[in-house]
Formats: sequence, C-alpha cells, structure tokens
Amino acid sequence: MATPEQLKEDLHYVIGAVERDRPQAMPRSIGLLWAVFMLGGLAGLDWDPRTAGLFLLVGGPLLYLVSMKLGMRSALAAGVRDREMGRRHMLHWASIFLGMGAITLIALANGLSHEVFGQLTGMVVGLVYFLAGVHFRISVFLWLGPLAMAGAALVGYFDRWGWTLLGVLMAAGVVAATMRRSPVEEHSQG
Amino acid sequence: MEQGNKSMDAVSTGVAGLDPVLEHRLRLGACVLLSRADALGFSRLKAVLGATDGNLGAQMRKLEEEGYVKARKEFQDRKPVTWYSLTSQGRSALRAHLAAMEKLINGSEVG
Repeated sequence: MATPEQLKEDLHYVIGAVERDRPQAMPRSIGLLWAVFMLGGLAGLDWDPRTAGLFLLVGGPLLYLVSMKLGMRSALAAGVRDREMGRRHMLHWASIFLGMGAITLIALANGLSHEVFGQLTGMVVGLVYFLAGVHFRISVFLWLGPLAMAGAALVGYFDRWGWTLLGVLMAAGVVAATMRRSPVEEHSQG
Repeated sequence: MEQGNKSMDAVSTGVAGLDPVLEHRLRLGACVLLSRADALGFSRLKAVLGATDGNLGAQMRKLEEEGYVKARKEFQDRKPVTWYSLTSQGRSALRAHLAAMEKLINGSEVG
C-alpha cells in the first residue's frame, strides 16, 4: 500500500514530467520562412514602399496558412496531437489580420499615410508576438514583441533604413527563437 | 482528538479511493500527460517521463488492458508510430485517483 510519503514523491515525479512537457518551440521551417519574409518585406519598405506593402499584405495571409500546415506537421513529428492548442494558435495568429482590418478601416476613414499604416500594423504585430510569449510560453516573443512595437514607433525618426533595420532585428529574433530546443524535443522526434 | 479522528477518516477514505493501476508512477505520469492532449506518441511519452522503451511499453500495455488508454499505430514518414490517448474510463479513473491522493496527503498533514 502506498504511503503518503511515497505518494508525495510520485506527485513530484509527475509534476516534473508535466514541467518537461513544455509547449514546442517555434518550428525551424516556420521561423526561417517568416524571417525571410519579414526581412524582404520590411527592407522593401525603404526601397519601394508600394510593392513591399503589397508583398506584405498578400504574402502575410498566405504564409499564415503555410505556417499552420507546417505547425501541424511539426507537432505530429514531436509526438503531440492537440487540437485545442492548434486552434488557439490559429486564432491567436489570425488576430494580426483582424488588427490590420481594423487599421485599414481607420486609415480609409481618416486618410492615414502608408507610413503610419505600416507603423500601426507593426504595433499590432508586436503586441500579438508579446501575447504569444505570455500565453504560449515562447520566451523569445517576450522581448521580440516589445522590440517590434518600439521599432514600429521609432521607424519614423529614421531618414532611411529604419524599416530595414527593424527587418534585420525581427528576422534575427525569429531565427533565434527556432534555435533553442528542449532536451525533450530533441529526444521525442521520431 | 477530534482533529485526529477527522484526519484518520481522511486517510482511510483516501486509501480506499486509490486506484492500484495508477499507483505506479509511470502509469500515473502517462495518464496525467495524456489528459492534457488528444494523443501523445510513444517517443514523446518516453522523453518526458524519462523512461526506457521496455519499461514504458510494459506500463502502457497494462493501461491498455485496463481500458484506460487506447493505442493506435500509424506510419509517419514511413516510420511506425504508436499514438496513445486517454479513454473516458481512464479520465474518470485518473480524476478519482488524484482526488484520493489529495485526501490522503491532506489527511496525513492534518494528523
């Protein structure tokens, strides 16, 4: 018969296992795709704002769909089937488009410039990143989010290369997010 | 005296409610992890629980025999993968076992 002390030890063991069962880090494929997309799109705003803006507006949703697919495959490869978590990710990242939709309506109603539209979108993206760090425990987003928000706010103070600098920093941050792997993730692949 | 009797009652109730299938920590750990997802692969369970292939395999077979988990074998990238999910019977058993553990531990601390 189990004693209370043995049960407490068993509980500690289980708590340890639950702690090790942390959410997946960002899959490398997703991170690299978004890094290239952000670097190209944001740097493009300094060179050809119109084309870059279209690239970001059209490419963003497409890349979101691709990311959801890649995320599902990555979770399966890590040995996790969790529809609830998948649904939360889908809704969370889709909120960027809700934010952009709202900003578009505001921009149209108030005649906002493209630059300000871009800055407000950057703020929304940064906030969504930060909340991903809070709720999904992806720690890199806890600083990447505020960096994006600060960058979007400050980019107007640069005569040139402001968006390029932000793109480089964001791309580097996203790539860094994909580099960290927990021992569980290393061992549970396959 | 009264407090002592209450804690004895709590311990007795707790002991009575413990599920012998889940008194093995590996089986308990597996069920707790499975309660948090739709299904987990064998490799994932092994990595998180820090178990060996043989030991985990034996414990998962026991859970299957008791009807607490369901196993499904699939091929993923041409490799065989076994997915485990908690059954409703397993979920109820886990809830009852954890409640009994709590009573037992709380009873032993009060007394």
